[in-house]
Formats: sequence, structure tokens, C-alpha cells
Amino acid sequence: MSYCTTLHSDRSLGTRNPRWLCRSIELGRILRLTLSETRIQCIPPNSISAMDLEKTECRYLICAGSDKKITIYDTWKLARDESSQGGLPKIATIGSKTRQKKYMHKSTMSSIQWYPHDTGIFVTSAFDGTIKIWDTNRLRPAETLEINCVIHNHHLSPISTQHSLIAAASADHIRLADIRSSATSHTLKGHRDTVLCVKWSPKDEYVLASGSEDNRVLLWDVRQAKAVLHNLDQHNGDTTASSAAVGTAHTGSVNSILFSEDGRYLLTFATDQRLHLWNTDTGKNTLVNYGRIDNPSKHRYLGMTLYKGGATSSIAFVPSGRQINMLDFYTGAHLRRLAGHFSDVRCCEYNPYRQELYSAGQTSNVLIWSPAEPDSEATVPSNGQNLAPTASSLLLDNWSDSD
Amino acid sequence: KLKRLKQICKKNNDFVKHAFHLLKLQLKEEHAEVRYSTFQIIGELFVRSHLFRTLLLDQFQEFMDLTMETDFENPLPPPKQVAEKLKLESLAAVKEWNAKYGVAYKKLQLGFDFLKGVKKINFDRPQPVPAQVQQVAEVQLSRKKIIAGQRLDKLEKEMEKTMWEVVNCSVEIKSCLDLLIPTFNNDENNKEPENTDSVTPRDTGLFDRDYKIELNLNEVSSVKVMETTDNVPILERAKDCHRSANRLFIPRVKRWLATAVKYGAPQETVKQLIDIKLELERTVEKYKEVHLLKDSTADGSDSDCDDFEEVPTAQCFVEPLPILQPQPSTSHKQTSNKEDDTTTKKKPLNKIMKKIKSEPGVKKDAAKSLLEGAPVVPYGRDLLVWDKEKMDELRETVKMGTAQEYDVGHRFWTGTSASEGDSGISDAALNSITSRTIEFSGDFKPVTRSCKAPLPNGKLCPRQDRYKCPFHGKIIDRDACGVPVGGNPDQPSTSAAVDNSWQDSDFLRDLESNLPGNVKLGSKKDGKKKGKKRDLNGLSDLNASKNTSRSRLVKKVFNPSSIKRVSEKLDSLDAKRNFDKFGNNFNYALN
Repeated sequence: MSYCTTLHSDRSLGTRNPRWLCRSIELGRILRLTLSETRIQCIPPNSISAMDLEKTECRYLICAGSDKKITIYDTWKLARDESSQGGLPKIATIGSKTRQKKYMHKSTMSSIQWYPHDTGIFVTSAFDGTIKIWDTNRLRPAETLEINCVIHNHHLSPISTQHSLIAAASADHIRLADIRSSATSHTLKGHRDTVLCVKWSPKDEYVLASGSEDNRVLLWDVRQAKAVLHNLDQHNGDTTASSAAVGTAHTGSVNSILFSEDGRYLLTFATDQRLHLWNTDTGKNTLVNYGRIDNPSKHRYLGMTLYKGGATSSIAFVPSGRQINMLDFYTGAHLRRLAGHFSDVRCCEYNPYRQELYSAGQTSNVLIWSPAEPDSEATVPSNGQNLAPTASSLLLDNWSDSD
Repeated sequence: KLKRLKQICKKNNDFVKHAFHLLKLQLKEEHAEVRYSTFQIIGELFVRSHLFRTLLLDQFQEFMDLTMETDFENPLPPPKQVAEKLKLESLAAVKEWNAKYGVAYKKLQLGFDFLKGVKKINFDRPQPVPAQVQQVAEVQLSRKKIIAGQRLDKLEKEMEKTMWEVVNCSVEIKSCLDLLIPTFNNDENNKEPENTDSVTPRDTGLFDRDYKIELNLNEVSSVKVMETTDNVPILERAKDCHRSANRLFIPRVKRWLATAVKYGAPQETVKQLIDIKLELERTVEKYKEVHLLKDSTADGSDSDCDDFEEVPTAQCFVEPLPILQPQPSTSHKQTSNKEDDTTTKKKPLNKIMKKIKSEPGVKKDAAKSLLEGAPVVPYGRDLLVWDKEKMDELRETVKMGTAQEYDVGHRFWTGTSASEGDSGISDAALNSITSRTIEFSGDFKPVTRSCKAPLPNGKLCPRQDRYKCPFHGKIIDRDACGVPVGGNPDQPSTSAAVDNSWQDSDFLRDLESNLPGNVKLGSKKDGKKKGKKRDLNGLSDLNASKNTSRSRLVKKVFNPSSIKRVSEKLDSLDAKRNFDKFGNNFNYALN
């Protein structure tokens, strides 16, 4: 605790930024993430295909199931006793009743997102080529947009004040759908193969990034007629590279992208098992070495998430096969590896208020990773009071005297 | 040993870590026995050390893949029985661990749920049948049932539609036969009075009642029917029916029966089909027994024949002509007769014959008996001169023969021997004339004894071969259980000893020193073999199972050189055939 006290004193003296204390505590907790007792359990053939945590309160976790059901969980209440199997308490489920069936998507949902400014709306998109805008209070879709192409991912701008566009990655182009007019307004063409991921910049509300199976990552400005701002090049224009690699961000399909907190950097992850960090202003590769990280999921969006720790201590959570890698966003250093899933991890979400991580696997359940108590190597995890005596005894060594 | 390991691990957690890493390496070994014993050690340490538990659970997925075959792409290594055992025991262990430690170790619980939920392993019944396999089997079974149902429905419909045709056919044949042939009972009635008449001895002129008259009725089995204008339509109808029954109905009923039996039709249908089939076959048999007689007088209006069909008793209609045996050519008369038309070749032969005839003191009987015993040899040139003992005499005969033979009277085309005189006939030519080559191939003796080497299925090898079984080597005497009898089993070992003596290291060294250049003989290979054997350490040899007769044959049959050889041969044959066919065709000549 001495480190904490010095931080406190530094803060009171005014030598350090007050956020410094907050960040260091958070970081410490993140580095102690362990499997929590609670989890969201699915009946085996079903799984969670996408999920999102709302950004206003960081309280409600919305999950899109592979069985075309949508479930909303409250992460604040850990009602272990009443709800079965120690899972999160459910707020609502859409699609379990027969009369709701007609609202639901015809096929598995590819992505789901809360409206960034409000929990009254959420948006889902599915492989059946429709985007549905849902009214949370009525639990039924307010609007359905037909794209008529498989949608791999969609995104709503988290900072936009001027527009309310949904960017949807469908086939080899990006469709922009306006919530206000409930119609598609733009089509951004430029990719040569299926677009797997799209993300709005958190800095500039008109800037959009997209990653595709043609190995390219494009930055768009939706106001411009030309649209493409930068075509990210992994060799930074070095012509010695082979002709096929010219103008490509990776040598495999790009299935995950992530903006930094300030929007000045972009992290991309592709099936060439590499991560690249890009400067979004110049479109240059920063050549940070993240090492080799497995990426076995081809033709499928992969959800990375970010701990926003400023320029010094941002952490990216990168799903890699059955594990989740914790990487330093700016230096590429390996921090930890979270192993707990028995199938490929599809997406993960970080809860900044509780410093928890939610990760969804392909076949089994959603796991909740919560920080363990400090200096508790051999004691019980934080919220395990009811099983204290037996469990703690089980954690001890059991060498028989005869040996 | 295990106790010692536990003692070491008890001392310090670092040792536990080290032990874990070593065990992990061993677990990746491609040998089920190694994995099994490693798993046993892991089981011992798991219940004792907390650190070991956390380490193992961190890599629990890998552990499951290596022991429980959760990854279909990486099956457990051979031997199979041990792998199966390992799988079962590790599943049981996980269940046990979960019951005990599941509360404290979240990951263990998750793994257990994963196995139970996703991999569909039933822990109550420790028989890990993969869900997919079960499903596939079920689907196949249901599909088979559906197909059987469809087939039976089809069969039923077909039977409903066309059964009457079959029945009609057999009935028709039967009634035709009834019309053509009076029934057997009537026949008997007709004959009986005759027989009773014949019983009285006075009528037959027999003296005694003890005499028995045997009427052989066997030959009556083939019934003859005379064709008349009256029964022609009946006969034709019967013939038609017979033909259609043979060609159409019997095969059809047989097919029905086969499908009914195959797809498990109800008992009654099968019975019915069998009855119909037997009935049909019986009637057809009956029809076959009837012989038709073409009545030449049938055209003319013969009142006698019109009234009733004649059923004549058996007679032999075709008398076999006595085959004329050609007379043996030795008779003097025949040869003299033939003298006119035969070519000049025969002249020397005739001379010999005359000589034989003129020789006195040969009794005819003796000659006959001699001839009976003498071996028969086809006629050849050597017989022509067989009695010429002296070379000169022989030469003269030959010369005479040839002179006569080739005396064509042409100016240029004359026989060579004629121009060259006596010296022209060489000794070699004479030898070729006087000698006869008889190819000796020996008598065929059928192979009687089989290999009888014990097979893995408990039987004895039934292969019958002369010297060597392709699977078990040289055929030796074996008893009823397939164990070699006598001194034979020693034979291979002695041969091996001989080999070893040849590979004696001193001898080889001498040989190497004497031979020019760097020649190494055998010793290196020998060393390698020994090393391998030592490595096994009591584990079952995985390569032993690979050394089967099949693999050995595969090695020979599919090795590149033999494939190349065979394909070359086939190619050349093809090319030759093509050339023969199309070689003259300019279109193909270019290719």
C-alpha cells in the first residue's frame, strides 16, 4: 500500500495529475483479472455472437445470441442466489416468446450496439441483410433497414452531433444508413473484397475506418466525394515490397480494428497473425512490434476492446484463439494472457467502472473476468464468501506425510 | 520411484514447476503408453499440490486434447487399446477432480461443463461415444428404414398389379397340359385290364405263375404328344405361356422374393411368393417333359388321329449310326492303292514297309501284342530313317529322298544337295533329321499341403503352395496347431548364425582393409538397429504393427521403380498396338 500512499500524497501536494492515482489503481486491478464466479451460461448449441456494453452508465450489457434472441443483463447486480447458476441478472429477453418471433432477425446477428448517447435505442445487424433499430422500452424494432447483403459489422459514431449514421459493412462496400430518415444514404466503394469491420473515429465524427478481406484498411471521410482519406500501407510506401503487397495494410484479411482513446491511432488485427498500429493523421505505420498473435477466425469479425488509460497505459484486449491477450496499446508489450475459454473467443467488452472484462466464446458461455483482491495468491476470490471455508482448504497443498 | 518424485516436489514449489514442464513434454509424446503413465503421475500430483493444479488448469485445454481426444484433428496415438483406456480414465479423473475441486477452481468447472455440454460426454456412463458418430448412425438407420418402407410399398403395388398375370400363366399352362395329356389315373385304368389279362398264364403262354413280367415304366417320364391340326392352337398357347413364364414371370417372382426377403416383408407375402414361384416352376417342369412330335400326316385329314391324341410309349427314334473307324495305314493294300496319288515323299516309307513285310519269322500274334505295348509316337522325319544304322546308308537314303523330292525339272531352281553331291549333306543336318526332340515338362502333381501358419484370427493359413507361402515364407511341416514340427524351426536361426558369422566384426575389418578405397560393410547398420531396440524401454513397439504382410507387399508393389517398370511395359504395349492399327495411316504416323 506504500505506493498508493505516495500517490495520495503526490496528489494532495499537486505534483501529479489527479487522474494518475485513478489510473494506477485501475491498472493494478486490470493486471489482476481472474475468472469470476459469475458467468452467463448458454445452453450449449447456442452462444453469444455479439455483445455491447452501454457507454453512458456502463451498466447494461446487451447480448445477441446465436439463437436469434437478444438479452439485456445488469452488470451492477450480481444476483448469485436467485438467478440460476450464478449468472448476471437478466433485465429482458427478446425473442423467447412466439409473438416476438416475427420481429426477430431471420439469421444470426453479426453485431449489436447501443445508441451511444442513450439506452433507449439499440441497433442490430444480421447476416440476413437487415439492420434493425430497436426501442428498448417497448422491446420491439422501431425501424428495419434492408441492405440485401450479408452484414458483417456495423457501427454508430460515438461522438457525432451532426449526423446519426450507421456504417454497415456489407459485401465489398460500406453502406451508410441514416437513423433519422431510416434509409441508406451513401455507399462507400473502394474495397475489392468483403468488408469485415467498420469503426467511426472517436476524434472526428466524419472519419470512418474499415478493414476488409482484400488485406486493406481504408480511412474514409464521408463528406468528401473522393471519400478515401488514406489507404494504409504496411510498408509505408516502400517499393521494395512485392507488387501484391503494395497498398495493403496486412497480408491477411483484416477482421478487427480499434481506435485509440483520442482517435489519433488505429490498431488493426488480421489473419496474418499480426497487429499494426497506424497514425490516423498521416496514415503511416508506426511499426510497433506486437509479436505474433494467433488469429484463426477467418471471414468473421473479431471484437477487440480497449482500456482507456491515456497515452501511457492504454491496454488492448485482443482475442486470440481460445485466449485473450492483454497488450500495451502503444508499446506492444505483452502484459497477460487470459485463458479460460474452451473455444475460440469471438468478442470481448471492458467495463471501465468495475474494471471487469466480459468475453464471449464461440460455443460455450460468456465469461466474466474480475480483478482479484491484491496479495491474495492463496485466498478466496473477492466475492466468494459463501464457499469460503471449504474452498480455501481445497486451495492448500495436500502432501501426505508418508511421501 | 513415484514416492521419490513426490518427496522432491514436496520440498519446493520450483520443483513442482519443473516437474510440470517435464510432464507436459512427456504428455506430447506420440505414444499412448507414455501418455498414459504421464497421466497417472499427473493424477498423483494434482491431488497434492495447489501450484500443480493451477499450472495444469492454465493449460487445461491442451491437457484435454492430449488425453481425452477433444480435438478431432489430433487423435490419440497408437496403440489403440491403451489410448482408449487413457481416454476413459482421464474422463473419470476429471469428473472426480471436478467433484472435489470444482468449487475452488473455476476453470476446472468450466472445463467439465465444456466436456459435458459441448463435447456431449456422458460422465455417468463412461463410454465416450462422440455425439456426431451416434447421430450419423441414427440418421443412417432411419434412412434405411425409410428406403425399406418405400421398396416394400412399391413391391406391394407391383404385386397387386401384375400378380394375376403370373397366376394366369401357370394356370394356363396347366390347363393346356391337361387338355393335351390324359391324366395319369386314366392311363393306369387303361393299362390295368391288359395286365390282368396277362396274369392268366394260358393266354400268355407261360407255364408258371412264378414268372414275373417287368414293365419298365421309367422311360414313360418323357411324354410324347403328336401334333395334329386339332391341338395346334393349344400347343401354341402352351408354348407362348411357357416362353413368357421362363423369360418374364419366373425372374419377376424371383426378384420380388429377393426384395421381400431383403427388406423384411411380412411373413404372408413371402410365403405367398414362394408358393407362386414353386407352382410356376413345377408347371414349367411339367411342360418341359412333354416332347412334341411333328406328325407328317397331320396335314392330311387322318380320321384316326383326329379323335384322340396319341400317347405312344417310349421308343428310340434316333439310332446312332455306327461310326466307321478309319483303317490303320499299315495295311499293305491301302498303301498300294494310295501309291498312285501320294507324292514322292511316301516312296521311302513304302520301301521300308515292304522290307518289314518281307522279313520272315514274325508271327502275327506276337506283332500284335508288341504293337499293343509299344508307345505311340506321332509321325516324324526321324521315323523315316530310324533303321539306318550306318551313316553312309542313311545319307544315301536322304539324298535319294531329297532328289526325288526336289526334282522339279527346272533349269535354275534345283535342290542344292543335287548339285553339290554327297558332301552337301552335313552331319548337323543329318543329326537334325535322325533325332527327335521331345519336350519334357514332367507330370502335374497337385499341391496337397497348405501353409498352416497360425493366423491372428485363430485359424491356420489355408494357402496351398508348392514351396513358399507369400505371407509366411517357406512352407514347412506343421502340426494341427500350426507349430512347426521337426528340425525345421531351427533352420532360420542357423541361417542367421551363418549370416552373423559372415558379419563377424574381425572378418569385416580384414575385408575392409583388403578392399581398395573406403568401403564399410554392414557394421554401421547393425549398430543403429541395436540402438533402436534399446530405446523402446519396455514400451510396445509401434512399428511392429506396421510390419504386416500387406505393408510388405505394398512396399514391393508400389515402389517407384516397379511402378515405372510396369507402366513402361503397358505403355510400350499400347504403343505397339496403336502402331499395328494405325501405323500405316499418315494421320497417326506423325504422332
